[in-house]
This record gives sequence, C-alpha cells and structure tokens, in this order.
Amino acid sequence: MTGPATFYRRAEEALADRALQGKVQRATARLMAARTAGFTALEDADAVRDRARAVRADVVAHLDTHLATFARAFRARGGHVHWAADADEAVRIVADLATSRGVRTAVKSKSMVSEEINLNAALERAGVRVVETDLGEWVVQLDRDHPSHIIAPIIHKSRDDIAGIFRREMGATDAEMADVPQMTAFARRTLRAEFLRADMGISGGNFGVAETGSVCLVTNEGNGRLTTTVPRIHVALMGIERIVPTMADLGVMLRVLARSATGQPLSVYSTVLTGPRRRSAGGAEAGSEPDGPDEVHVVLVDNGRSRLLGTDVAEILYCIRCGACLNSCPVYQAVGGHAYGTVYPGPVGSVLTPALGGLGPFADLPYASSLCGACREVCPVRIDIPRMLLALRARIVEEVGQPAWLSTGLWWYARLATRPRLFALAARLAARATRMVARDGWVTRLPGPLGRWTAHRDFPAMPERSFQQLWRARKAGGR
Amino acid sequence: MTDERTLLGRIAAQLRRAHHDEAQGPASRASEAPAIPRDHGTLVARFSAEWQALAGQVHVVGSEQDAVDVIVGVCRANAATRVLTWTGAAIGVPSLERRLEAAGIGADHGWLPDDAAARADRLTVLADIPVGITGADALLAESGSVVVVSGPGRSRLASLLPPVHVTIARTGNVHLSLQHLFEAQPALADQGSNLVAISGPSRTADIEMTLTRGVHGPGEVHVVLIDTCDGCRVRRG
Repeated sequence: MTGPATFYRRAEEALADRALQGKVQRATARLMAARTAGFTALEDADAVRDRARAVRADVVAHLDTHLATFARAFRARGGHVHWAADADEAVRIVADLATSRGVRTAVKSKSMVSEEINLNAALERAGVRVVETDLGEWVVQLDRDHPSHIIAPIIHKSRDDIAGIFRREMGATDAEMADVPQMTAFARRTLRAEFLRADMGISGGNFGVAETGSVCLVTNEGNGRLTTTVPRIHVALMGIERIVPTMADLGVMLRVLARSATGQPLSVYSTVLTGPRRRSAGGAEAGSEPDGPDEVHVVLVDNGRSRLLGTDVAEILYCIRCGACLNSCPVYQAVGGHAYGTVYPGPVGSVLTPALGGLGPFADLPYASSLCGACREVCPVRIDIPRMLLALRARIVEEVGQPAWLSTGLWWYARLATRPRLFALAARLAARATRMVARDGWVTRLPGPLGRWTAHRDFPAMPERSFQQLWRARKAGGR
Repeated sequence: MTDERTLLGRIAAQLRRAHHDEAQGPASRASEAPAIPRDHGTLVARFSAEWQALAGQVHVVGSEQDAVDVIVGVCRANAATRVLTWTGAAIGVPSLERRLEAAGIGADHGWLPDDAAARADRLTVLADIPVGITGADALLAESGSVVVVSGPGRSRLASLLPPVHVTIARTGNVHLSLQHLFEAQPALADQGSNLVAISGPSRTADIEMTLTRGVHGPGEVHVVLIDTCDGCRVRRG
C-alpha cells in the first residue's frame, strides 16, 4: 500500500491527461465488450455465478477449517507450508528461503500479493535478482513503475512508451521494436534465458484447493507454467482467503474467472499444481515424473485479512481478482489505476485497501465512486461493493470525521429537503441559474469555487418546468 | 514466524464474533442442471470448433498409424529432427518412437537430472527442440481445451518449451467444462504434480490490447484427434 489519502489530487492530474484517458477508456471498453460476449456464450451463467458465490461464501464463513485442510493436504504431498501474519513476515520467509538455498536469480509470474507485500525490493536487498516474466509486469519492473490494472498492468502505456523502455533498459534495436509481434518475440528471447538460469520460481496462486492441497494458477502467456516447472524450487504466495474446498468447486470458479477478466471461457493455461515432482521409491526414471520442481512451498499471507472476518466488509474476501469491476467503473475509466495510489485499484480496491490498511490513510477511497452499482452487476461472485463503500463512509464519518463545510452543507440541505415549498422554490431558483450560465443548453463552467466541479464535468441546463410541476399537470389532465 | 495454530486461532476467534453477514450467497451448492446439449458428438464438434477459433489446428484421423503420419508431417514442416515427447506408452501409441526414428526424428523424453548444474545444461538442450508431443487426458468443449496430467513418461515441458505443440487425443473423454470434468473425475488432478488445461496457443495482449501469439509457450498448436466415436460431427481434415 503506497501512501496517504491523495486520491483527489491524483484524480485531478489523471483527468488533465487526455492521452491517458484515451488509453484507459479504449482498453476498458474492449475488456467489457469481451466480458459481455463471454457471458452471453455461457448458457447457465446465472446458475454458475450463484454457485461461485456460494463457494466463496462457504470458504470465508469457515476459513479456519478450509485452511487447515489445505495445509494438511499440501504437506501430505511433500510441500512446505508457511504462515505470514503480515507483509514483513511474508517477505522474510521468501528471502530466507532464497538465501538459505543459494538462490541468485528468481523468476516471477504475476502475483498481486507480492505487490502488496513489496516482495521484489526485499529480495533485491537480500541479494537475489528478481525477474518479472509476465510481459506487462516485466515492462513495469524495467520502468520502475507500478501496475495500473489487476489483469492488464500496462494499459496506461502506449506501444511507443514500451518500445522506448525496451530500448533504454535492455538496449533493444529499432528492428526488434518494429511492431508488436517483434516486441513480443524480443521479450520471449530475453526472458527464456532467464527461465533457464533461474534457481527459484515465485508465483501467486489464483486458488488453493483444500482437498488436495493444490495451487491453481491461471495465465495466458505460459510464464506461470515456466515459473513453476523449470526452476528446482517453486514458492507460491497466496492470501489466506484464496481457498476453494474441492476440485469441482475450482472448476466452477474457473468458469467465471477468465470470462469476467477477458471474456475467454478459460485462460490459455489453467494449471493445477499438486506437490513437487513425483518420484518412484528409488528415483528411477521408469516410475518418476521427468520434470518439475523438487521443492515446493506455499506462503499463506494474512496481512490484515483475518481482521475483516465477521465484519460488515468480510464480503470483499470473496473477490477472485478478475478486474471486471475496474473495467465497468466510470471512475476507473476516467482516471485509470494510478490515481488510486494503491496496489488494488478500482472499486474492489476502494473497499479492500481501507479495510486492510486502515481508514486513516485511505479515507478518500470509499468516496472514489458514484455508487452506480456497475461493479456489483459485473462481479462474478456478486459482491455488493456499493453497500460496503457506504458502510466504510459511515465509519469514516464516525471515526475520522468529515469537513465542516460538508456537515454544514448537509445540515442546510436537510432543512431544505424536509420543507416541500421551500425546496420547490430553491429548485426553481437553481434551475433558472443553470439556464443563465448555460451555453447551448449545457453548463460547462461554473463561477468561483464551483468551477472546480465543472472543470471535468458538463451537465445539461435544467428545464423550466420541474418534475413536480409536470406531474401535477399530468394528474390534472393537462400536459 | 507465526505458527499455524496461532494464525488459525485468530481466524476462528474472528469468525466466532461474526454477526451474520447480510449478504450471504444462496444456501445450496448443488450443481445446476440446465438443458445443455451434452451428447458426445456435439461436445466433440464444439471442442473442435472452439480450438480452431483459438487458432489451434485440428487433424482428425482414423487410426494411430495416421496420427503418427500427421506428427511426422508437422515435424517436417518445422524442420525438426528431434522432438520433446511423452513416451509412446504414455500417449497410448506404443510404436511412436520407432516410427519417428524411421522418419529420421529423434525422441527426447525430457528427463531432468537431480544435480542443479546438470539440470541447467539439460534445460538448454531441451529449449532448442522445435516440436513437443503429448497425449491428452480429456478434452473440454466449452473452452476448446486439451487437458494433460503429468506423470512417468509425461513431460510437463513437452507442451510448454518448444514453439510447436502437438497433442494426440482420443475423442472418448470429452466434457463440457473443467467443472464437469472434475465432477466426473475428482481424482484426476492428483494423479500427477501438474494438471493443465491448454486452450490454444500461448498469447498476450499486454501491449495496447494487441493479440500476439507464442509469447512464452508454443505459438503453434495442433490436436490430432483419433476418432473413436461413431457419428461424431467432426469434419475430417
């Protein structure tokens, strides 16, 4: 989690950046269209989503039991289980594993938890070279930037931006940057060499299957498979809430995950990892698996999650990190992921970040929403994000307070709104005022301090006759 | 470091003070029973259509002999004199290695040695092999996926490291989705250290949402379907 409550300032900057808005709006529009097509093709979509929600609700309601089952099964197949109460502990566990085994280079596939605990910096301090292998995450790492979307980390960068980064940081030639396929081939060549020399692979985990102690990992590029197959040691990082009880439950979750993210029925590689490379008793080739890691670890990260259990925001732990709520959110579409200033942007982040990191530093995030409900509509597990944003706002007012102008304003509004005649009069005056400042029927600029509000918003001038007037006229039989 | 009992105890304590969340999911976790065509021929046809829509290639053949001929053809097209492959026994085509050798193609089963340095050297050799060959444990219709499980003679890297991947599949075990496969065969994933459902070629859209194939895994993927099903509506190609 990075930094204090500065959403409004960052949002202002993002709104002034037309190029950024174009990139984010094009990307989110495409992802939303793909998601709609993906769910249209799923005949029993509502039933599958209901069941997916039921699976997540069951897991969160009985998290201790499911975690214990998962850990037992993971160990029974020869894996090592580590528990991390917070970010510091999580990075220490991974850094100790790396240094105690003489790891010089670790390859990483995309992991939001690793961003959350700031793993790369800690590993570098411990003398371990870390290479991100998801194409987008690699670009972010080379540019010392941050991802701006959960599943599409570099939607804020143009092709030219990326080519520039490859030239500057990796000495790529103009020919290698000629077009997107060439750029992708450059990434394949460069990262393939890293995979072959890496001593350790570090991944996230989309799900942990309790009954078998399996870790499920979903990628399109194949870097997740290379990370968990080529190096001798594999370490998976997972939030403690990422469990599903059974393999069939995993099948249900995978039917909605990729669809919600990119519209694909499944990602290209849906991988289920169950323990290390399996060997016959003597280790002979005949009865043993030919490849795979000899040593596997899972680090189960709490980092504030358990505190949410049993509270009115526990439902955010149902989240499967598909990113659909980001794509559907009019606020995210307008400002992009960096404006949130946090690892988890968008509607899910506006609940998760203050819930995990405290209201104090993140008090403006629950307000980074118009409460339109689009996020709840698209959520594959139907998380009621607007309900939790309101719950957090209420808590902020109680615990942190609100600015005097807002309290005073609301007090006046309450007086007005409870006096119908006065309200109608005020509405008429306000409507007339909007018509006075409007040009061609649109209010594009308000005077004085109100100008900040219209700097990024236009709205139509209000008509002469109010709804109340129209309604009365209609009831009286006129028009 | 926090031990398991401490952390699970903390979680249990939090859960005990739960006032029930107003937004609980539906109580039932029973599987839905919608009216979806699930007859075998329809599922095989849908797998085939979805796989091709993902830019995968389908070759329908009538026998194991013909399947090996297709593989030899793919190897020739890619100038491959070596393949990274499951054992013929693991694929269910026992004559595979012998017939490849007769065509001048060497079979490498991808065994990695224990020693770290030897493993690294071996990986460098495997990375240069142009074609990988595997069998398949199941096909998925809804997503156009081949499901492969690792095991003795079943290299994980064969479907991953080479730029071209050929799967030899039989039309017998086809399911609508992973959900249906796992409901029918709950123990399948635990038969090896790795199960993967592969849906088309490796791809990325990270750069300006431009779809590009073959970023880390194979960019060219083939399924050789040995048609063991009468009346499957698969176009013979």
